[in-house]
Amino acid sequence: MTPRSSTRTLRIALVALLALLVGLPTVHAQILRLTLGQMVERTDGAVIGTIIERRVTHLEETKDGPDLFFTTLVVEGEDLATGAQTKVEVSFPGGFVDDETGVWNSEAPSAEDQRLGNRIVAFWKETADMGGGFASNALYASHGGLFRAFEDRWGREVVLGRGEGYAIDHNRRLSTLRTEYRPLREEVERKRKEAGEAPR
Amino acid sequence: MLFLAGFLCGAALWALGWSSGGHLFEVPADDSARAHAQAAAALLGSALVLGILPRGLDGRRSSVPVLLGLTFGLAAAGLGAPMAVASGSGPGAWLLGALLLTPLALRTAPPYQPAVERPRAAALLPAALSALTLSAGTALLARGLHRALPADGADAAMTWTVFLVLACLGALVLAPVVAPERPERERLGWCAAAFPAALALGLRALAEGTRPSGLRDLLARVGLDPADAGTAAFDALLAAAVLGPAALITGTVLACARQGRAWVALGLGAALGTALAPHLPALLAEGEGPVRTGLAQALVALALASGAAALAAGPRPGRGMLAGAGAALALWASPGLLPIPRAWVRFPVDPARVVEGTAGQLWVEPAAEGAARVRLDHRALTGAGGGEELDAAVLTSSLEGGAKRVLLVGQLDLARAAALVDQGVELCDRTGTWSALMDDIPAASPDPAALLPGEVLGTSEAWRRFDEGAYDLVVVMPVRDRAARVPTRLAAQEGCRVVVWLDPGAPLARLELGEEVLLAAAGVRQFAIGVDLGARAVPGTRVPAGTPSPRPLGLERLLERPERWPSRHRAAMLERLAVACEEEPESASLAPFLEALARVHATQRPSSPFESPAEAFELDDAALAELVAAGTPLGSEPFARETLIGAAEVLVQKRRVAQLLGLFEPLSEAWGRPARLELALAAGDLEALDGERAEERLDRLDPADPRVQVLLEALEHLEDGH
Repeated sequence: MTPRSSTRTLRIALVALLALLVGLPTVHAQILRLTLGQMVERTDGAVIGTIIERRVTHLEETKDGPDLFFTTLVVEGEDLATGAQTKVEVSFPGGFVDDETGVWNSEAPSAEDQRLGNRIVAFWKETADMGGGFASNALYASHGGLFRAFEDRWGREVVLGRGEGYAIDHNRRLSTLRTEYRPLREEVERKRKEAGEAPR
Repeated sequence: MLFLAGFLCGAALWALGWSSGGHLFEVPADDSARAHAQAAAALLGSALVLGILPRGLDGRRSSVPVLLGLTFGLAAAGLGAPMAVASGSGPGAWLLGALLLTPLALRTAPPYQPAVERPRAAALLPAALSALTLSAGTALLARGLHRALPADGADAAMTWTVFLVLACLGALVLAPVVAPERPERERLGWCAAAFPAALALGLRALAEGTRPSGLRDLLARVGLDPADAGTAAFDALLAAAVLGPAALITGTVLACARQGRAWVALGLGAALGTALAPHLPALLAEGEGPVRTGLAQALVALALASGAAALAAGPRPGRGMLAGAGAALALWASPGLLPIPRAWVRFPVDPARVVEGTAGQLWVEPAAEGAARVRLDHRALTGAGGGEELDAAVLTSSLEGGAKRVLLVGQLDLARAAALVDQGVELCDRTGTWSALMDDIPAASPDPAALLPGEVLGTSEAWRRFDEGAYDLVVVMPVRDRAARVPTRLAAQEGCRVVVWLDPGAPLARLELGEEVLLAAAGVRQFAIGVDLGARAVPGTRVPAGTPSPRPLGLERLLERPERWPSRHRAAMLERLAVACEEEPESASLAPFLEALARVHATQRPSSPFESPAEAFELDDAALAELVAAGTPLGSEPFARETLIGAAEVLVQKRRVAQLLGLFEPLSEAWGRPARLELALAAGDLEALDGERAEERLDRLDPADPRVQVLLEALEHLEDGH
C-alpha cells in the first residue's frame, strides 16, 4: 500500500474517532437527537449487561402490513440506576430469520453492535405495539439507544460514545456514566410520582 | 443415435460457445467478436454433423430426439460440470472433431435411400436468411440479458438450457400445428413469418426486465425477489421471458425442417447471424448526448429483415400479414432499452456516458474527486474488489525494482495513473478488447492521460510492440469477479516482466495457474493473485500455485445467491495455496497463515448495505486470534504484514478496542513497532481513555505525519477532559 492510500484510509478512520471523542458534528444522527437527560426522560430504564441471546420474529400478516421483522436482544446484567441484577429483552425493527428472509434497517444497530457476548448499555421503553401488534421493550431511538462497552487494561469498563446528538456522545467510564445517570433517573421517577404515575 | 448426436453437439456448443479468456489481452474482458465467431463455428459444425448423417433427418424421422439431446448435452456441460473456463481450443474442439468423423464411419453401412426428394439448395436460401436474423436477434437478446447476471458462466448455461427446453416444447407442441400437410418449404416460411413477433416480444421483455419496477413486477408473479438475481429460478424466469418466444419458434423451425439440407441451411444462417451479432449494435448505435446505444435498434432492424426474408419464401397473404404485424410490434417495443445496470442499486448514479460497441456496452459513472468508474457490460473495469487500495498494492508489487515503460492491460483511471507515476513510470500504453471504446470515456479532471503519457492501442498493435520489446512491464489489472483462463507460458522479451492479476473473489481455485503465484494485499479485506509470466521475475510474496479444484459446479453456484460466493471463492483459493505451501519446505511457514486467512474469509456473511466496508467485514474472534498467532513469525513477509496491519485498522473502525489492544500490542512489539500498527494501537488507547499510553506511542512517530497530528489533537481533547 502506498503512503498516500494508507494515509487516506487511516485518516478517515482517525478523524471519525476524533469526532467521537470530542463530540464534533461529523456524524449526523439520522434518528432523534437526544441528550442523556432527554433519553432518561423518554425511557423506562437502562441496563448494562451482556447480550446472551438474539432472535428475530417474523410477523407475516399484520394490521400494519405484511412481513414485519423485529430483532430482540436478551441482555443480562444490572440496572444502570440501581445496580440490581436484571435480564431485559430489548427489540428494534429489522433482522433476518434465515439467510434470505428478512429486512435490513438503516437505523438498526450494526451487526458488530449486536454480537453475542458484547457488553452494552441499552436504553429501553416498554411499548405495547411496535408495529403489527408486536409488544416488547423497544430499544429507544434504535441504534441510538445502544452503546457498546469494553474493559480497559486495568479492568475498568469504558462505554463508547457515538458522537454529538447521541445520548452518550463521547467515551466515558461506566462509573462516570452511572454517576450521571442515577440522579437523572431519580428526578424522572420523582416527577412521575408527583404526577400520580406508577413508577417504572 | 440422433439423441446421442444431439447430446454431443450440445456439449460441444457449450464448450466452444462459452469461454472466458483466449490470450493475455483477453484476461480482463473477452473479445466479443472472437467468442461469437467461435460459437458460430460450433453451430455450423453441429448443423453439418446433424445434416449429413446418412440415416439422420430424412423426412420420416423427427427432430425432437436431436433437440432433446442438444438440451441434455448443453445442460450437462454447462450445469453439471465444473464451470467451464477453458478457451475454445479445449474439449469442445475434440467433441466436434469426433462428431465430424461419425458420418464417415456410418458410410460403411449399405447404401441408404432417403424417403423424400431433397430440395434444391437455392430454395433453402430464404430459410437460411431467416435463420440468420433469428439467431442474430437471439444472440443480442441474450447479450442484453447476460449483462444483468454474473459473468462466471453458470447463468449463461441456465439461460441456454431454458432456451433449449422451450425449443423442445416448440418442436413437440407447435410444429404439428404449423401447416402439417404442406411442404417443408412452406412450413418453414410460416415459421419465419413469426420471427419478427418473437424478437419484438423478447425486446419488450428485456426492456421491462432491465427496469427495477418492471423486474419487481415480473418476479412478484412467481414469488421471487430482485435479491435472487443470479439464482437458478431467477435466471430461468428471465430467460423464459426474454428468449421464450424465440426459443419456441426455433424449436418449431427445427421440427419442420425434416431434411438434412434444410438443417445445414438453417445452421449456416444461424452461424452467420451469431457471428454478426456483436457488430450490429455498434453499427446502428444512435442517440444524442451521453447515451449512445444500438441494441434496441439492432433488434428492430433484425425483426424487419426477418419479415422480409419470410416474404421471400413466397408470397402468401396470411404469412405477409403475420410478418408485418410482428414488425410493427418490434417498432412499438423499440423505445424500451434504458441502460439500467442492476436490478437494485441503493443510490443509482446517472451515467456520464453509455456507448455500445462490438466489445459490449461501456458505462461510465462519475465518482468522487473527478474519477470515473468504468464498466463493460456492467462489469467494473476499475476499482476491482477493494477499489483503489488494491490497485495501488497490485501496481506497487508489479513495479518493485522499477520500470519506466509499461503496457497496462486494463482501464487507466486517475488512481492507477497516480500510483504508476508514484513508482516512476514515464510511459504507459493501454490496451484491452474494448480499446476502441476507450476514447469514448470522458476525461476526468485531471485527465489520467495527462498525468502519464501513453497511447491507447488495439490488441494487434499492442502485441506488435510487446514482441519488439517496447516495454519493461506488462501488467494485466484484476477485474472484479472475473476468472478468465490465463496463459501459463508466454514468449516475452528478455528483461520484460509480465504479470497477470486476478480477483480471488472469482472462482480462481479451478484455474490452472502455473507453478507459482504472487500475493498482494490491501489490508485484510482485499488481496489479489498474480501470475508471473515474464522473462524477468516480479519480486514479492510467492507461493506454490497448487492444483486446480473441480468445485463449484455450475448448478451448485446457481442454487445460492451470487453475493455469497466471492468470500467462498477467496477461502477456496487460500485453502488451495495453503495445501500447496505445506508440500513445499520453502513455503511451509506460510501455510498456517493462509489457512487462518481462509477461515476468516469463510466466515463472511452478507451484510447490511447500510454498513461501511469495515463494519461489513466479519472478523470472527477465533479466526482472528489464529491469524495473528500464525502471522507473528512472518513480520518480514509483505503479504502477511499488510494483511495483519489491515486487520488492526479494521478493528479500529469496528471499535473493538479490547481485541485490538489484546491481540496487536504483542504483535507490534514482535515486529519492532511499525508505524501503521502503532497508529492503530494509539487510536485504541484513546478510545480506552488511556492518554498516557497513546502519548508514548505517538512520541515515537513522525509528528509531521497527518495521521499522527489527528491523534495528537484527539489526545489534547482527552486531556482537556472531553
